Amino acid sequence: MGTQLAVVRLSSRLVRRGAVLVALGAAVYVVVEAFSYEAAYPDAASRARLAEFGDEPAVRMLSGIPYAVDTVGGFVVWDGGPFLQVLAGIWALIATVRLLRAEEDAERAELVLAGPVTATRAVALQLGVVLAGCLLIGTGVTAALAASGAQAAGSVAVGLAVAGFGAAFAAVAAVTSQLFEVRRRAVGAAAIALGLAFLLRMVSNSSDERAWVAWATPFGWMDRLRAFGENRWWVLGLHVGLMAVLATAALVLRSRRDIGTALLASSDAPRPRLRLLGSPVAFAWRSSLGILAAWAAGLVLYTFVLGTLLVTMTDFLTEDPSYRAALELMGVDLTEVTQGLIGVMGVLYGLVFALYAAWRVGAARTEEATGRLEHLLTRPVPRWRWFGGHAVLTLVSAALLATVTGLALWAGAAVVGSDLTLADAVASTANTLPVVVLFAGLAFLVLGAAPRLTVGLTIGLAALAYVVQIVGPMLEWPSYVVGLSPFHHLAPVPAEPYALVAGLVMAGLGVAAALLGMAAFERRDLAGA
Amino acid sequence: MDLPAISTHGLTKHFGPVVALQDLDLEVAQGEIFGYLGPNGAGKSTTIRLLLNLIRPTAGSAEIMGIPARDVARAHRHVTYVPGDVALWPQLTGTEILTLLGNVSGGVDAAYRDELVERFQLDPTKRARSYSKGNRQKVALVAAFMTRPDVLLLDEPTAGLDPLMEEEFQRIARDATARGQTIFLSSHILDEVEDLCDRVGILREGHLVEVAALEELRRMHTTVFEAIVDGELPDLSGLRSVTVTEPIPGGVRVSVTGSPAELLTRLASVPVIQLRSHEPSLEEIFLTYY
Repeated sequence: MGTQLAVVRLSSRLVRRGAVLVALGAAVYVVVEAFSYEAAYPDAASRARLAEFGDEPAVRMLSGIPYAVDTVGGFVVWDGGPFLQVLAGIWALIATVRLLRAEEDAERAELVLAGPVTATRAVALQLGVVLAGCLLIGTGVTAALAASGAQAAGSVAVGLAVAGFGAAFAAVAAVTSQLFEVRRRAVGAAAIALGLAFLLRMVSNSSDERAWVAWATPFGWMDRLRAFGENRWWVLGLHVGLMAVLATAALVLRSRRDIGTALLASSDAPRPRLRLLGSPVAFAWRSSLGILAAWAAGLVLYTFVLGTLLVTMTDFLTEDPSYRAALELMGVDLTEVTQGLIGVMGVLYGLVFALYAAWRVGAARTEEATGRLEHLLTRPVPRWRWFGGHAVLTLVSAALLATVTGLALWAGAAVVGSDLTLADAVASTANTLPVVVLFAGLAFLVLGAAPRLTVGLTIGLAALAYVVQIVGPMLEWPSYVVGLSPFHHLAPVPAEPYALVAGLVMAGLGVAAALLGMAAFERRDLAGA
Repeated sequence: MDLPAISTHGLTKHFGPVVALQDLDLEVAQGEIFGYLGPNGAGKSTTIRLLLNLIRPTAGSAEIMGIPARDVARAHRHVTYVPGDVALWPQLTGTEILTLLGNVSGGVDAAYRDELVERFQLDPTKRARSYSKGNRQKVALVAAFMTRPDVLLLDEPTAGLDPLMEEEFQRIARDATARGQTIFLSSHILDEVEDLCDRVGILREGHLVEVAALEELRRMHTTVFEAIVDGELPDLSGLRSVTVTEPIPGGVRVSVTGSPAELLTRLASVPVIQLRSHEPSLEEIFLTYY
């Protein structure tokens, strides 16, 4: 009993900080959503218009089916539900793989299993810890909803659904942790499952005939819950059921393997591949290729689907003058409908590419934290060359991502016969690169000055800047506040010409930050984890 | 005279309030195997990491083959390093890692590399993930020796090796110094240092408390006498040359610094059955510093 308590204590110590931060982030997000709802739709008439507007097919495809959007809770679920679920799901799958696979990779799990506790029992306890974290995140959502004046029962239902979503993907990650022997493969496989679940939701929302597909994805269950109206509690049983099935599968799989092995292990002695081992920069490129390809694949899939929806959306927009008026009020220039839409959506790519850049710099930091960097820096490799190599590769990778994303958008649009040109499609994604340079530069500055904060600080600031740009104008925040967000300075290319000065300033700041980071890195001690 | 392989001048490193290394002045000649001794936390790794510019000195400076340690592009052409805890890229095989490190270093003697792999009985076809601590250390040792560098900085390099491999390491190290290469060996395995090193430095809490050739250390220090006597023991108190006295069955073990004349005078008054003396082991010397 004491041993099991110790396992729980150790596990919760490893993941609790992340859980608390995500719970707080989710709560803040809910409050911001609620505020923006009250500001944008202050009276019954505007709320009725919102319900009407949200029920149109194109909006449904992208944002889901609105339910009870005349209440603040219903609006938050409709507008922010997917984000909250993604947040809980990603935390849960990363935390689960951290406990179930990374500890084993690092040969620390055996210290625990040397105690009087079986491997399957340990897995069950660790999953329990992640489940508690999911419930904490759900509690954050519930508390923030209730504090924002949403109905209590609905708030509890939504909080439980967010927790259940996280728990389901914790169980998915528990299975992938048994299948793959490396942390990032286990995370990658679970993340692919999350992406597929999201795509299923888009498919289900794309037409009424396909609505049944919603039952096949945890994203759809949130909509079927009908919170702040019917409150169909039994839907939560789906979350519990999925989690129970997958968790049981993970336990069975764990009982069938030895520690340090995986059921889909790659060969221990593969044929040596000697390409891209010629220099530190070549090797950095080689090491990052797999993850770059994964990001590219995810973005290509998403934007291709988005591209195929373009014609439906533009047809809808051109046929509905009131909706056009509403969008024009939001600042969308609709003289060229397609370009206008593409331009507005472009900002999101900026955030995604910036997150990629933060991850990419984080990978460089991992080389330092693990001590592997010392193999290179104790050879005739000046620090600036290693650092600069990673900086160049980060920019090249981000530019590649922007290009393939634009290409996929164009290809999807071309399949359904849209008038979107290739140049416009790529321009809309490449437009965001100055922001990416800025955040990548920031990440390199942090790597040089406060290495342990590299990923967390950069991702936090990028997400904050994005939220400021999205909700700031709606809440009528003063322009100097909204202007702090780099995303605010992107023009909606191709509807408007590229904001050259702003782009140069942001890219220049990014390069300056990276150079400062390089100088700081030259002067400091290498730092372990 | 030849340029020293390693020289430091007032080399100092503080981590916040903690003094990791204070005013280290040290010269290691080319072709020497220098043993760097001290318990955990004495500053051995700190010294090596300063020499490699992995951490920056609070004060002082260091040179490798006359090149400032901070000029890594030049200094690191002469030096390789084996860390105490070797971290490798888990997804790469031994061959891939040796190829990468060889390309980054330049000047690999491929035939010698293969010989080293053979002598350390390393299987380089395996992924690093499946390597034990000892095997990871072997990869780092092969990588360090394969370019035949002028200076090797080895931080407890044999901690994970079995006794047979440790012996192989000693042979390879002697071959290297026979060719004029210099080895700076940090260790707390005193037998290894005793077998291998020409000179040793002893470090205590960041301060270098002694640098001397092993022979010299032995001379400077105590000789141990064991006397078995028939009957009562003589009174050995009040002898300034005697540092340690401990009873053994039938007699006494005495450590003497300097001349044993006083001790012999006292012992002459009792019937001594047996008198043995030996030079102190490095361990016995080492312990006198703590």
